[in-house]
Amino acid sequence: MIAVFNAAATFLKDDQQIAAAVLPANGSAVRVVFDLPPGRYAVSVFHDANRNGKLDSNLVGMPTEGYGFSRDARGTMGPPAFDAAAFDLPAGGTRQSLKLGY
Amino acid sequence: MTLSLTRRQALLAGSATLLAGPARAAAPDDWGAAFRAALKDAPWLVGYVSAPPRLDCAELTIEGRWPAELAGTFYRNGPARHDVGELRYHHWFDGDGMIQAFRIVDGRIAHRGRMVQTDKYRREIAAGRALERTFGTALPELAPPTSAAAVNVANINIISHAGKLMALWEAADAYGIDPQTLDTLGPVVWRDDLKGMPFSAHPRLEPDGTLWSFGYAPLADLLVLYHIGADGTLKAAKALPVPDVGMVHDFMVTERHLVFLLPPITYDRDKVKAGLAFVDCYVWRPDRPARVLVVDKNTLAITRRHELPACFVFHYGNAFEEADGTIRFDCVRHPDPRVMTEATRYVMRGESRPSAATATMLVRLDPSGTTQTQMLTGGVEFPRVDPRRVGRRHARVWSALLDSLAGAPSGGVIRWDLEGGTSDIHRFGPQTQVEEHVYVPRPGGAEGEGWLLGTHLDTKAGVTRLAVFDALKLAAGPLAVASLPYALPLGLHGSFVPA
Repeated sequence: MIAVFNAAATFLKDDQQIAAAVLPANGSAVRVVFDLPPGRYAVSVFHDANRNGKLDSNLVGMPTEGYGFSRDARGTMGPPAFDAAAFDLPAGGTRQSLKLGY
Repeated sequence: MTLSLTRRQALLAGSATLLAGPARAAAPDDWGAAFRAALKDAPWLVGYVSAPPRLDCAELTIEGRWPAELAGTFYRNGPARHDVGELRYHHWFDGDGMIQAFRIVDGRIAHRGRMVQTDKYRREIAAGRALERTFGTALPELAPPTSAAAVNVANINIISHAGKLMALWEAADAYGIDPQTLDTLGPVVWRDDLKGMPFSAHPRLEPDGTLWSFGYAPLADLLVLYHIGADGTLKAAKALPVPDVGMVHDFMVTERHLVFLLPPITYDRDKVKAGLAFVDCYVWRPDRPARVLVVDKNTLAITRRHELPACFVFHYGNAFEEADGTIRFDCVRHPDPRVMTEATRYVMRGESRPSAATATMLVRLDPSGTTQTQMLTGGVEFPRVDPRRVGRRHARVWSALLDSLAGAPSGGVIRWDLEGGTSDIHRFGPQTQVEEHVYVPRPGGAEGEGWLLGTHLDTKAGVTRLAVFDALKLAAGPLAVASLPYALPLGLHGSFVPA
């Protein structure tokens, strides 16, 4: 499950992404292309291993499925801030790769 | 084998482990150099040297008569890798856990030591360097951990339950350990939505085989409760909201209740965000009382609250309940948390900063809400009771006798007989660092009949020894002492598993 956000205020908020994709997690990598206007964006990805449509977490809110963010940003005892994961998308496009952590 | 050889071997082995990377990076600060310099003049610091990742001794040398009936395996856990590459950790509690197993068969004893292969340890071995900030070390080159589970070092305790041996930390999952090989089997998953959850280093095992545990989540202000059946399956889990839950290292059970003491130490979220080490995010509030929460075992709801004068407690002996609802327990009282914020921190750079003197504190919680405390003087830590008396009225508690945890050597063992208020003591001698001793009942015997079994580090000889006492005659000295040819890193807690 891949979601693209364009502002700190909406980052990681339910249904506030400006683009999203759901792809089968086959093999060791997946690739997705978004057609977006130039701007500043941050991407979050998680592996919905049990196909229940959400990132499962434990009773203290820590994810129990694989997840990651653009620029491989990491938070301190939680998700990163928008600025840590954000990158600039120029008119000619850009390519971002990130790894999921489990 | 001479003292200097033993110490040098340990040092060399320690550094060899840590130089997994191809190039030797510059030390990030002077903690490693300060420790190595101090070690030259203070042999007692040998207990804080990093251990090699594997240790084996086919047969320990035994002096005295080892009790023929005492057969099984004595497992211990503790921080053992204190240096990662050129980085030396800034806190004793940071070191990656290592399991020590003393296998006792037909009066002969063999030793095996293995690192717990946690996710953190494996990632750091692969990277050849330290990766994330830990409990007590927050150097700028270390990344902030995304969760407690990412920096689980499984280094506090090891218990056996329903045939499962588990290495325990307290802020994330237990790790399964193979009882024979000591290979790491991976995190223990009680239920999918409990993965990565805080799980205490001090579960309480009731005489009927029921295991109770808990976890504290200071960022979420939750106290998590686990009820595990004698068959090893989870019966119930519940997260209780507890404002300023702080740090809760141990707890107690009675026949009807779970009992928690919350020292007045709060967790400052702003300091967490600012990237401080976790130990520096705690704020001691001696102006506030210690809170006691009493939880009903059936409903897992808080049914009683009490307050005690401010104190810091790591460990409890046992609790029990009287017919009128009075709850009584014993614990090791620290006047303040310097044991954690100073003594066990600065020892990593070779400095002795004794913590405040401890005492055995006896507490009565009257159902009306009033409380009474009584101190039994004499510095102690690591209290243990008869496992058949857990949650029931107990008359005896055994502890390590020490002036200060992580201070200069001074060691012995003590048994308090609670009804008469009398004690029975053995002191090992001035150059000994004593570790936890566990009481092992003689099958069919009364409370106290049996043995007291534990390790101590002879800092003069540079070797670790395993001593066994008649648990009711400590002053008579050990029945037998078994010696390793090497020093083990000073550890925390363990369990005896009968053959």
